[in-house]
Amino acid sequence: MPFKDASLILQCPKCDVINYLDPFTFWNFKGKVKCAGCDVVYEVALTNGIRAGAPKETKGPHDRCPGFAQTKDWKPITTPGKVAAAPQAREDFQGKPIPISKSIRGKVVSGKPLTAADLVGSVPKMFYNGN
Amino acid sequence: MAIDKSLKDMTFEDYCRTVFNTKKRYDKPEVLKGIRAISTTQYILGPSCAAYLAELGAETIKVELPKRGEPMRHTTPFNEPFLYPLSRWMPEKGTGLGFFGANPNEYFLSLDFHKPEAIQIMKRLAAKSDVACENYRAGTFDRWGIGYRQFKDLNPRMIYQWMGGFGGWGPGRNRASYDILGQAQGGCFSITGWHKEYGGMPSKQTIWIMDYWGGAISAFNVLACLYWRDNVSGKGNFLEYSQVHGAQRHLTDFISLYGKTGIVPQRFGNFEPLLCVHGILKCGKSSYPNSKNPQEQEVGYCLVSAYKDEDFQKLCKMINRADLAKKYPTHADRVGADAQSAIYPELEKFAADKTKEEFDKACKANGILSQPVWNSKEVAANEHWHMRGTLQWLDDPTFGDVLTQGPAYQLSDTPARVRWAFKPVGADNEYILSKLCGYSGSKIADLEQKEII
Ligand SMILES: [Zn+2]
Repeated sequence: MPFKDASLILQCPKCDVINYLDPFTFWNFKGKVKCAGCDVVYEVALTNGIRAGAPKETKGPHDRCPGFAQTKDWKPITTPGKVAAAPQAREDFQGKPIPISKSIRGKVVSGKPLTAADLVGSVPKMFYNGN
Repeated sequence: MAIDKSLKDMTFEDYCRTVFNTKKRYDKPEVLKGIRAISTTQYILGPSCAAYLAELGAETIKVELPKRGEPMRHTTPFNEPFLYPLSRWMPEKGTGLGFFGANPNEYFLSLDFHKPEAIQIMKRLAAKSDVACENYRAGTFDRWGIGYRQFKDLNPRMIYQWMGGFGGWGPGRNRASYDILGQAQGGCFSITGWHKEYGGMPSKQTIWIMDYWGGAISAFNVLACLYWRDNVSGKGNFLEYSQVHGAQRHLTDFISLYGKTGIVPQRFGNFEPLLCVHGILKCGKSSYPNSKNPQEQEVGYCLVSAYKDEDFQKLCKMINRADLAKKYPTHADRVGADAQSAIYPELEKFAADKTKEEFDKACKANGILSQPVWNSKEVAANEHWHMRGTLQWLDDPTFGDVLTQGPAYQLSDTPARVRWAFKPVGADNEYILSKLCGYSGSKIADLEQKEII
């Protein structure tokens, strides 16, 4: 099978950009996908990760963006709006420590950076003092 | 001890409820009280072994590098949730939640093994301990002069459990191992994941199941050796646990299938090669369509098991496909790959306009075994587990209000328990060094000054 016909890849016939239809989103999918290179919208259908036929050029708006895209000479395209954001476990995902001071049921938890003055030995003062 | 008359007359359920009452867990004796274990472990395999002993009441002393602690403290999901402080020297740094679950109830001592004084301290601890758990690369502690051979001279009753990837001898011994490597080499991943029609990818288990299993087996070996030492021989023992061998030990029938027929077992995704219907179905609707959390917006999944002929008939009737029950009347007709590939999509068509709860309800109404595939939110909300103490909100003395797993088993008179989730690096330096090494406060301050602890 030629590379451009592989199931989860949409190589744009117009601009040659390779749009990766990530399996998480596109395993079972029928709808419109926008090329990350030239914004042309294609109709795509996949069942259990297998492509139903060649992508057909159509009019927008698109349903989804590809998960990841590359130009023909392997330069990644990461511009928001051109490719979809990676699926995240939470809306406010930052990828770095998010300070918290309450558990999900609203009680005190030591979840934020402290200073040496905040400690008694190894224990935060608030717990040592019973808040 | 005579049994209380009221206990004797109770129903079995009430008897269990009374003798296992988790509210009284902290008032009862601990079954391993009096046993002392040193844990020079990191990541999950070694720590979980030590943690199981600590949950049962052994005085378990975890020894880590000063200030930073072991690597697992710096591992947390997507680098987001931490508990503070990491140590008294680094209050602004936290311990990642990856450390959770593998280190409860332990005392935390910091030691830099590169310094001769630290080696002396380890020897003093070894002389007074029953058990040592260790999972550095094979032979590392032996080279440092604090392995089993050296400890045995100081304490012939010591049980020394080394845990690692590939064993202490043999051509593959020198690699460091992780759960993922153990599972890959042990053969586990090759049978978990998608069938070739569904993409064929092997799939890893997200939890470190081979680490926790290996820790449990290691703790089990330690207990057997304590029995042998205290009741039979009076002697210690040197134990080796290899993660790769542990992984292949639970491959059920797959190894004998190969040995008998030459068949290499294949992945079968959410179906089951031995039974049909017995798998996980995709339901078309999310249980939380309006949630802000993308994880909750995803569609649900539901397990269904109806492999007996009469159950399969009920299932076919439920989805208005009595013709399928006619076409595949016996289990032998259904269990083949082609039949399964034809049956499951029909079930998923029925589930396509339902949430996992709706599908589950339909199954239950028709007398078919089913269970929605629960996520952590749903597990955490489950009253049954909180009532039985396998999940608990813990008022941790250092970190406050944390939700944690408790022991998954019950002992009526000597229950296991979680006393604290974990502590900062070196939190018990004074306690352990004064109690077991007889060091004064100024001596301990001096060790800290020289960065030995
Ligand atoms: Zn294009």
